[in-house]
Amino acid sequence: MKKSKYFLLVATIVLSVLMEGHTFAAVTKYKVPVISDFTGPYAELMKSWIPVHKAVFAWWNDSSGKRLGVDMELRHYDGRQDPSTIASMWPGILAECRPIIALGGGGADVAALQQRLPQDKVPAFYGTAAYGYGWLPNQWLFQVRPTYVHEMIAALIWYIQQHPEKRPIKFAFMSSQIPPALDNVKGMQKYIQEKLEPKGLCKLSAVEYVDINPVDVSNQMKKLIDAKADLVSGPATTAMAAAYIRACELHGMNIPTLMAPHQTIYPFARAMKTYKPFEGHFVVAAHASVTDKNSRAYQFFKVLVEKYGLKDDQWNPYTMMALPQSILAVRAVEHAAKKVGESKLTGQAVYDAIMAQPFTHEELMGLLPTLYFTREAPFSTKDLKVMIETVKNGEYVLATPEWVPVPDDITKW
Amino acid sequence: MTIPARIPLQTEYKDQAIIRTQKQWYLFVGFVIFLFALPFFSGGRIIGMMNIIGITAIAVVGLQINVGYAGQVNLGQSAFVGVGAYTAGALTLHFNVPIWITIPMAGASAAVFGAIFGLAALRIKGFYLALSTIAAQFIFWFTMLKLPKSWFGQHEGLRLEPVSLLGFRFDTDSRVYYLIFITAVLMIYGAFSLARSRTGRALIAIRDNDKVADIIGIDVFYYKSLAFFIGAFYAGIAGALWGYYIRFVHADQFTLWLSVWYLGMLIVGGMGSILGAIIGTVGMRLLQELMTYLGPRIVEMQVFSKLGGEIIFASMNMLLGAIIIIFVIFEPRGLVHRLNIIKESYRLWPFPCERR
Repeated sequence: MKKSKYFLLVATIVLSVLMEGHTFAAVTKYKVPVISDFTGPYAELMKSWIPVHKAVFAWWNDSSGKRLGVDMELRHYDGRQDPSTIASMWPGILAECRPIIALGGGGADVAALQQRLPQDKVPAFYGTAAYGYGWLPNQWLFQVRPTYVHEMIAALIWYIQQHPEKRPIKFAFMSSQIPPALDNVKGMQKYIQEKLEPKGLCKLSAVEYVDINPVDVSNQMKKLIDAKADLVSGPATTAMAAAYIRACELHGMNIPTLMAPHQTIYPFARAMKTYKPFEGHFVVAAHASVTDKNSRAYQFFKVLVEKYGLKDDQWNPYTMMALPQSILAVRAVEHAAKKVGESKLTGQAVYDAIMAQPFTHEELMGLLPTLYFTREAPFSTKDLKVMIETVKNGEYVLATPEWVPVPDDITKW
Repeated sequence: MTIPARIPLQTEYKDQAIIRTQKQWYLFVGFVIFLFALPFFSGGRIIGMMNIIGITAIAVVGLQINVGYAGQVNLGQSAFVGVGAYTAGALTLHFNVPIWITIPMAGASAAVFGAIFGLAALRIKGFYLALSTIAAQFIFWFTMLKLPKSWFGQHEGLRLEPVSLLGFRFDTDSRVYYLIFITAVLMIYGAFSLARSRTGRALIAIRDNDKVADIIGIDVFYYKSLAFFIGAFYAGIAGALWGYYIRFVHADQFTLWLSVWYLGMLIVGGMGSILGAIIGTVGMRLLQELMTYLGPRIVEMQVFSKLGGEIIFASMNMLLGAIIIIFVIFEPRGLVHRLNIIKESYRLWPFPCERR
């Protein structure tokens, strides 16, 4: 008996030493794969995206995650924007991470994974706007924004309302022929021809195609000028934007463009150190504006700067693609954890939680309007809104301080 | 009779046998059984890798017939893969054709497309032929995006459901692995047989000197077109398997960059050898997988934190290109030549093996 008591005493001492400073953590850890691209066309964007992903997930782990007993760890994988690389690495990701969610990069992983995500039961989140060909029911990938077409139509209608003297507004395209660009052209064409032209609000005046990285587009610009275009969409790369501006200067004209924030004004100004060439041009996106430093979104960003390693100069349109993606992903897990508990989280549980209730503007930290996901589409289809930015007097500012609604009569093309 | 450390002289058909001894048969059968049983004991990552390796190997073996045996530069193999993928996808989606018909049809359609570009091979060679095959890449891309949407989906591509054969549904990685494995075995067996046949000897003669081949009575035009036809047939089969594995077919998946990689695999593996094509495919894909695996870990270690993660990944991509350059300079005959030296060394051991 003496020996057994002695043994118990020693065991107690040893255990207490080992457990010194340790709390019995009731935290369930989950790994979240991030399909990144470091060597492909989105490599430049990754510099902005990765710190944002890390910061948002760290913030959530320290706040809601701690309360719920959930900790999420990001694991980055270089997909190289190559569907075969992503397809071959995905089974390993499933085995290694057993993910409950994933963060996607772009078109290549959509191509590689879209058909198998429902079977693998892993919801994937994307920070860019959607495309028409991804507008399919029963998807397990979720876009924080509607299609580029939705966004541009909202901005076009706003522009029409601002310029009643120009009706019908002559809308033109100067676009590349890569599938995403063609998708935008088709979607806009359909809406203009079916909804706006009959009402005398807008008409399609010209469609010109150029290389994706053109040197000179002065010929195409001449055709747009001859067609008396009032607004042009299409320059989706910095090279196209630069060529467009050069062509405008050559012809002594300035036809405003309408694109997404990461495509024209910001990347061009970052290279040329001035916004002036884009005076009067517009960009539109269904997320908070980087020009508004009084917004809830900017206050949230400052928290991430102060405590989670982001820098002030990271407040830009590239970051604004990763921020909404990350916040939606963590809130989706939060919704699911509240329903099923921290230790029973699965991809199916997260998917069910996404469908069950909306994500409010407040819980999305002002980055996005309230999102309502349904099985009809991979993006929210209700109460869509956008923010429109422009360059005025050489400054990058909001074109209008309020969220602009997207019309609800946009149909698939 | 064999000459130490050189390619064996093959004077009789049985000299060309790939498997010559009973021991080699045992090893070969054991290897096949190992591959067949792989899904039962390996993880999803391995199976995913093997699926991609299998599909790539079929395309690269086809390219070897075209480039390595017939000496016709071809930078459009990826386009031929795409033609096969679209054909199989469209037949399955629109007409519910069973896969035992769609897969050969995919090969046939790619073969016809490839043979058209093979017609150019009669008049031009080398750099100029490479340019015309690059044209195949762009023609394929533009055509697929412009043909009616109801045919090939245009920019939406084709989305496929899992296919089945005799009630066996290929809806998991492991099940698709068997489809790819069996197809790859058949195609590689066919390639080895072709290489040792009269057709194979004609292709080699054309590669070595097409004028002399013409003089001795080989129909150069026919065999050059046939080389493209067969090479593209293999690509079409690979494309069909790709479509059934990924279940999404889009023109953007079949790029010029992919064609260059196929050629790189041939260079690393060894031109003029079916085994070289397989070794090159396996080696390069494993290297890519290793880089994909190591990249995030190196970034997380922050060993090169000042350079940033994107430099790490970019330098890894440069490494793959550097390997191709190193092989061209130091081992132009590829890994299969090293393997031959090792085999001869083993056979002659303990006597020294003369290396050339």
